[in-house]
Amino acid sequence: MKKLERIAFPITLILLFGIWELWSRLGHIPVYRIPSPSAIFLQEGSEYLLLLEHLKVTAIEVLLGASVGIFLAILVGIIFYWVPFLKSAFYGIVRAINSIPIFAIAIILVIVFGVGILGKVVTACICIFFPVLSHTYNGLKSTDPVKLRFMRSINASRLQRLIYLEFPSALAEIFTSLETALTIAIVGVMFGEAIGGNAGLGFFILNRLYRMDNAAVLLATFIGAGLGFLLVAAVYLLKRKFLVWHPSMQRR
Amino acid sequence: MKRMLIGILVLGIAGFFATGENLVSVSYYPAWINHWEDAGPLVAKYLGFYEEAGLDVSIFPGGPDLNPLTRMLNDANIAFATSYNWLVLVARIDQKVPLKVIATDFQDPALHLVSWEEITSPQDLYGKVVEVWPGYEYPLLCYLGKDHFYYPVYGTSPGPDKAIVQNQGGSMERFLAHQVTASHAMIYNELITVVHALGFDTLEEYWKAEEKPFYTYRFGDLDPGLAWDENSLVTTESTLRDHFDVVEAFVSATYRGWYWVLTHNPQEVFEILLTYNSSLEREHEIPGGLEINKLLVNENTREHGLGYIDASTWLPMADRLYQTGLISRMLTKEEVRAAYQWVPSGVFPPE
Repeated sequence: MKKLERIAFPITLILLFGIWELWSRLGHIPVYRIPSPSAIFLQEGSEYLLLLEHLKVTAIEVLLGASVGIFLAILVGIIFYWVPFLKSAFYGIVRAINSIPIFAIAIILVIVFGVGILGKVVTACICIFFPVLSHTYNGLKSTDPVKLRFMRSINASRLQRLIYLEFPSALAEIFTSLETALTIAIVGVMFGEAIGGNAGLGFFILNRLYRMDNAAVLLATFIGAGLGFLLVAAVYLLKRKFLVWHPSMQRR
Repeated sequence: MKRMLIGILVLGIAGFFATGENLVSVSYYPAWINHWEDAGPLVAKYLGFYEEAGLDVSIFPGGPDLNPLTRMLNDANIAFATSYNWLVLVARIDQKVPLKVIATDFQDPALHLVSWEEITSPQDLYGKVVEVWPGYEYPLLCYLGKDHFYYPVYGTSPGPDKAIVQNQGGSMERFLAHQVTASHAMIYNELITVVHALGFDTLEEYWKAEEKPFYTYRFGDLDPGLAWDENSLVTTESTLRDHFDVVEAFVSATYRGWYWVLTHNPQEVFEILLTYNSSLEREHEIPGGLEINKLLVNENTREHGLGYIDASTWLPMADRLYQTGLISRMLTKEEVRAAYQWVPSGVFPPE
């Protein structure tokens, strides 16, 4: 049973792509409408090399923005947790910005920062910052009150409480929020590149859209999705390493 | 009571679907947001010229990221779009998209290159930064030549004998701040912005000035093989073949709209455009619009009617696109000629 489970996903993928390919060829759907998988993936090596270059740009923008975003979000989350007054003052703004759809944020940032990579890094940073901040704060607040009282009873300092109890218990929620936040960050960055960029997968897609090269557009989209998949997988691996003790990581 | 309400509901739904008087449903995708660039169709719809021709035209404005050609192809209705000859050719040849150009609005290019330095040959731009809009970069890249531009989406690498091409991002800021050497500018928009920013009241004042603070070029001035037309009406081969009467009606009503634009007070034209796009600015749109009007009229349109397709610009364009590597192969004369089929509008420019 275990062996079948492991190959179930690849087989599903192969089947889906196979049906798509067949449907394209039999239905004589023109390549410019919905390219068949063969049209998308069997492109010239030079196109793949070009995509690799642009993938690097997008990946750097996302990773840079995400790193800064995560660091700041955790920092501010801890500050909000320790200084409730600041939380009351600013949390409304945080919630408001968190609700702005990503494309609006990307557009505003392109207007403010122009076409360089700074705007896209800031986009990724914002995409990561607000969700991770929310979840850091909530995670910290959801610390088991019994354990909290115990820490207080043995005279643990605020910092000790944070390092040994509150932060580890918030970590699970932080990791979970990272997964969605990273995916949205990629979308935001690619969108920013498309509407005002010089390089990156988004800009590549825009250029190919004008040339009506839908096969290249879809290839770039798949590669962008691949990047998202890789990032989520990386988060999962980190989670496995840091949250060995957490129930969700236990084998049932 | 219940029956009456159901009856009203049924009538309402039926009314929603009725197009009235058996008008043919047509979709039109302007090149950009609704403004003077597509004033002909906008006015034609507003004043009922399309209805008189038996058409019920829905207009879907474009904008950044929106390719009118793609949207037109995905429209189930009979659809038209305004786009560029070079994009149509690339789509036809490289992607086998069955597009056809049926008329050309601008008989002279609106696309200009503004530059702080004089440009007499492509070498003048090597090592310099030129800003372009994605989708419009073809004349510039052809001017520079195949291995003489660094524009990341085309997979080239930087070098001393290459111009650095980058995305303008829709703002003349970097050009005005002297951070780039040259930039794309449309005569009806960015050029006016720059001219105003540098202290001239009107474009005429700038043209007449003896000491010009910056240079302005059309690509055709820099290189005769790059005198390409712009803003062509495009449709699909199947539409042209199966609904030729609708195509004819659309083209002639569209140019009736342009004729109205050419013969009426610009303020009136602007009022109509304002109903489509309330963000237009009068002081900017009208001077630009007057420049656009000039682009529609030349000896060819005086002789053959508005929207004339000048075949002599297409072969050089195909050749240059191939030489620069922007199109995958050399085209025969027949292949180039197959990309367009002039549908005469029957509307002649005013005297």
